[in-house]
Amino acid sequence: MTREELLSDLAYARTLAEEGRHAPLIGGAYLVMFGVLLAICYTAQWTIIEGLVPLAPSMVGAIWMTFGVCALLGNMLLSRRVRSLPGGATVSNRIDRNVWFGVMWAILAVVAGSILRALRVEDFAGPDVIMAAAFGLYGVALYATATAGGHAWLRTFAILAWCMSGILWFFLGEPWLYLIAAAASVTVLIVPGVIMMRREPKSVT
Amino acid sequence: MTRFDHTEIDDVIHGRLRLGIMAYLSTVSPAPFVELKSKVNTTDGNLSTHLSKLEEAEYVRIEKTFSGKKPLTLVHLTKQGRAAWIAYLNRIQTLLSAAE
Repeated sequence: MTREELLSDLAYARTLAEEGRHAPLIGGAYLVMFGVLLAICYTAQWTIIEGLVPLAPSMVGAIWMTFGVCALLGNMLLSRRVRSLPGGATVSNRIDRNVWFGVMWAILAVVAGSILRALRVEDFAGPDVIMAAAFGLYGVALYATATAGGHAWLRTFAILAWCMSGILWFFLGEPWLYLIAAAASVTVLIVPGVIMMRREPKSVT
Repeated sequence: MTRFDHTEIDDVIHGRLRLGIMAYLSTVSPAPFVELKSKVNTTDGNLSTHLSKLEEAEYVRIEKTFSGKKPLTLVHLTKQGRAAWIAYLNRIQTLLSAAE
């Protein structure tokens, strides 16, 4: 065995290891689904709060319950699609999956605390708080995925999500923030989701 | 050309195909058999033969399962396999450094 042969073998091994390390992300469809659902719900909530549609403010709760059901069903359908794609066990996809799972539980904790606060002390700032906290968490998830898989482009969306979180905190309580949040859902969830879906492998290559 | 004492290298890993398998599994584990086959560019039979050798050494573990109704074979890198892979890379690095 020569040094050149050994170096050639190592280059081959490195190529394969990097293929796994920088594999395409396959969670884009989830981002698109949640982005679409959130954009619709935020817009609907804004129209109710502003009185643009003749619906009682109590209907806001119904909107978010519908969101929960749609998200659950969508998750079930998408899990079948994503399972069929190669690369699910790569480090970046495992981190992506698990960090979003953690984000979901963090948001649910904020939602539960906000609802309890609204019921107990009648402080209805909760929904605004959820929105602001959620965008901060989206930024964390996008940044973690970007770093783990070497997808530097995703960091831009993480930074945008953090900026949006700051804006939502600063203007807490303003009705128009829901419209801004709808636009932000398109920007930091749907757009990167579509980019991921365009890059995802259709089959094992 | 500089020659190496290849007896110092882990033979179980150091076939070109097995090297590729270990390299890919070091970042993707478990990897579906079909994905691994595509990545290392070989046939079902050849991959099975080499996986058997790695399995005998307890470097990989083969799991037969189902994805929906379709059978799915997953290849896992074991703890011993990861340790052997790291030891292999260290050994190669030492050999290359010594030859410089």
